[in-house]
Amino acid sequence: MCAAACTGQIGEKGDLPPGATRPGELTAVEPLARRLTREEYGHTIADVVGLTLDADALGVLPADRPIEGFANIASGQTVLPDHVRGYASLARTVVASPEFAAFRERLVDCADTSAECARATTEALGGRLFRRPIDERERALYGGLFDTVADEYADDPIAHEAAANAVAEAMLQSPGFLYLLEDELDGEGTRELSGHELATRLSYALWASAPDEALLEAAANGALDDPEGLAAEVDRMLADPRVDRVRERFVRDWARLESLPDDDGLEGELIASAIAFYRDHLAEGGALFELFDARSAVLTPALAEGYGLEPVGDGLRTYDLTDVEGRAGLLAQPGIVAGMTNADGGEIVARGLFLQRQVFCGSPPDPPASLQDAIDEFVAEQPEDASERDIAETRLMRSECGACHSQFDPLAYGFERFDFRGRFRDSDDHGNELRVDGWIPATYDEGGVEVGYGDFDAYVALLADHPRVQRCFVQRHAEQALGATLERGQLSAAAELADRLGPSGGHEDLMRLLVLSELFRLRAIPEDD
Amino acid sequence: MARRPTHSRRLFLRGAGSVAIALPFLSELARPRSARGQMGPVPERFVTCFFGLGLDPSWQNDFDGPLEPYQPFADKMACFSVNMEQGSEGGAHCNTSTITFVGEHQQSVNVAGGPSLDQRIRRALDPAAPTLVSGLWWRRGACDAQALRVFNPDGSARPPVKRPSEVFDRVFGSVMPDPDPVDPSDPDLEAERRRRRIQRSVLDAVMEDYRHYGSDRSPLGRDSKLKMEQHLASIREIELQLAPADDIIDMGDGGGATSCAIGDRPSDPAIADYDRFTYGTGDAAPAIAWQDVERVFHLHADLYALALRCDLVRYGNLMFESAGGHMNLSGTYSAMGGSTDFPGTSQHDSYFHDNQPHHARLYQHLAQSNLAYFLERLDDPAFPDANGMTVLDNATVLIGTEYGWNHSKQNVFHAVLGGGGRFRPGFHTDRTMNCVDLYNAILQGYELPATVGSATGVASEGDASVLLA
Repeated sequence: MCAAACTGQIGEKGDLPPGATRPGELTAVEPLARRLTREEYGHTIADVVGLTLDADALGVLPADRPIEGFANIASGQTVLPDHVRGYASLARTVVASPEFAAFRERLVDCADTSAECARATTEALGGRLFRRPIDERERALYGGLFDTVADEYADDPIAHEAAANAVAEAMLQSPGFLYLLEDELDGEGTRELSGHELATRLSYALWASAPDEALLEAAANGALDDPEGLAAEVDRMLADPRVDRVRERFVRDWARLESLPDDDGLEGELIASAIAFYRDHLAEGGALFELFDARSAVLTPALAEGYGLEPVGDGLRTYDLTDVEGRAGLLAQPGIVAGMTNADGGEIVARGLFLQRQVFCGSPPDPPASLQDAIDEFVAEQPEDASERDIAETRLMRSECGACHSQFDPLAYGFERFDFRGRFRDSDDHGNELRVDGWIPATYDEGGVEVGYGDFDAYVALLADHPRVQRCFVQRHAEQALGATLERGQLSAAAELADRLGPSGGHEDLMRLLVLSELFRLRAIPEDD
Repeated sequence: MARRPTHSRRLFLRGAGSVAIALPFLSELARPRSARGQMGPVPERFVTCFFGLGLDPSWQNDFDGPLEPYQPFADKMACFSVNMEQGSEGGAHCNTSTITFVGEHQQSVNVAGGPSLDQRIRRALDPAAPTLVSGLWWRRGACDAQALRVFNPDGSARPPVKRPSEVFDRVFGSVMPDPDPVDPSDPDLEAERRRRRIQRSVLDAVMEDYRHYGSDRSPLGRDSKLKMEQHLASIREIELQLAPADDIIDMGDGGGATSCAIGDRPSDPAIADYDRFTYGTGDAAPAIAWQDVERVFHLHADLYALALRCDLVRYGNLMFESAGGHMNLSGTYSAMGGSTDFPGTSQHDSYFHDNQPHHARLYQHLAQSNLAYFLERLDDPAFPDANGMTVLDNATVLIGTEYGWNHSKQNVFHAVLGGGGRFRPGFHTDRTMNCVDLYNAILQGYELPATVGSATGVASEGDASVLLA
């Protein structure tokens, strides 16, 4: 595969390198209404109602397929009739459960169909399911539904239960529950989020779930408007084990682990090991950027064998790689390697494109259609026993290909000793000895200098200290936390966070910096509305 | 205990701040579907039909070559050869996929620059009208866009329903006899009816909430409001599945009409690895007998025609094959005085890379033959619309493809049929024009603003007013 005129690359709208900015640009985001992902839906029901929906139950919802970026980024989300059918089915399942009955009884302290109880029931359910107090319109809408259902049962003792359940069933399918909504028209330029808006952003960023009662209370009593009160809530949330959910979510989505093919029955182990490495390193206080060259791996026996290591026990185990060459860091975890190789176009191209997009935050253009014949011709003329590296270097020499491939192919050279499932090897299927020297192209260096590396360990050490890699990693974390793609002035805000985090900062430090920053706490108002 | 006055469901709806909003009344939706097309005015319908790969310009001028199957419709068909825009993202076939039937520059490889023409018209005439996107989606895996033909106003796609059985469930499931029917002699009959009334009230509340967030009173910006509208549209597509009628629907013949006799749920043809036909770039295309392809497509065409006839669908797309022509057909196919055993590779590869247009010519005859089958179903005089005309006469059908010959963005075949007298039929034109010129002429036929191309600056290259009656 090759590509010609390298248009649409780094530097265009939405694709400034991390840290770059244009004068006068807002640093706040303006997230669209975003739908809960399937995972967030499950966590929300579990945390709010107390009902755990297993994978089969949640399977009535279509899988979340990120179109661009993470699955929770609103601009890439669509809604189909299958979503609607799934939400209706799940709402009925939830409301019919004993856990919901207990939740309702805990929340509502009346059980009749009087106007007072109808109002209390509607407000209590709405306040919890919509993550904020309901307004007059909603009070009329859902109060009307309560009355209608109550009338169906007249003086039947179950009238209140039936009416409350119908209200909850409707709310669980409504925009206020399924979407994270903010007032998008209030004010001009940027504004502070309301307490409840901020509480919702916080909980979905830090827990992938709804605010708990304490956070809602902090939103209601104004504690989140006060810097000390906000910081205290953030500390409380970061100490909660639910933070592990967003750690797992990040590495899974960032590395595209969900789309690993089922080739050899190992995809579950590949995913679990990659997640465990990232999560455990950070949960144990490891620095964020140290992930790139940490000298350990979390492996199952099968993965350890593929890694050239003697298995030390069943299940996932941490392996010390201090004295093992060529396999350090997050990017070398077998699941991550498999994820970055899972695309068309050969290992070097697939990996290079992944590294360019996810590690350096570049945006590779697709090959121009006019080159399709040239691409086919190029592929056909390569010797069958040529190594990937030889093919790649030949490609770089061709002017119509090299312009773009020079920006991402060399990023992948260091990974040549990993096969498509992350197994370590010294030679390829044709017996070619594999080289791992390469370079980071000058385009990623602020001073415009190409930086070479001699082996994999040197490469990942470079990555761990590389300002662009650090800023990109923070940018990707911020995008998932906000459910929005960062662009323009927001990139400089993310870069500043990376600089402030520094080499010793951990995940908790990053999330604290992020959620207390203006990037997170402010909302931009669309200009054209 | 202070009780308030009793509210019926309808009173509740009126009292919930929805006075000015036209609700899709259950009685309207629950009326026997067979009667809707017979008793009311003829509905507006607009369907696009797609085939992949494109036609050589020399094949587009008459009905002797690959267009031969359209000969019976020669006096109903207006044929154009338009220039297509080519996006910068996605390789060949991907970068024109999001522009075909759209006429705006792509946002990204799988996101169009605006709505497809069917959705543009639907949104202007009847935003609640149901859409169906179905057909053969098999493709090589360079991009999803190859199999996407219908786009929402924000450019997001409505993916195709893949299997005939899924189409049947989606479209007809709501009006088929209840799998757990209400027995009039059942002592719990009233309880069942009450359950259905409550279900309906729940859905009414949900829909009203989405309606609010999509309205002028919404606190949301334009793009977020659009998401709410799309959610509401998705609810409406399966509304009766979510909340069955509280009365038993009589699926009789609608007063003697036979237009909408729904048969049994079809079985999907037993084709090995049915779901494997989306495969990776560079992989060999799995072989499939052309007769099997035709069997599946005919089922899709039958169901689509029935859905239009029954007025259960009004807008959407029926696709013979994804962009790119990547099916690897087997079997002997004969037409136009020649025959082929097909080359053992995908049509795309034999057509473009092995320079074997003989196979491609026969392959395209097969494609047009299948689309002509669909036109025949729509043109069946035994199932007239309320005005006595056929569905094909009243509905608009736009046939098109993504390329001209050999990845050229010029001479891209399009044809317009039907339209209820809006369009002049029965001609070929060799006028130079862009696809936006044709799409805008179609909008003008509907007395809608000719705004295709304006959102992303696609320039006019000619005049398609010859289409207008």
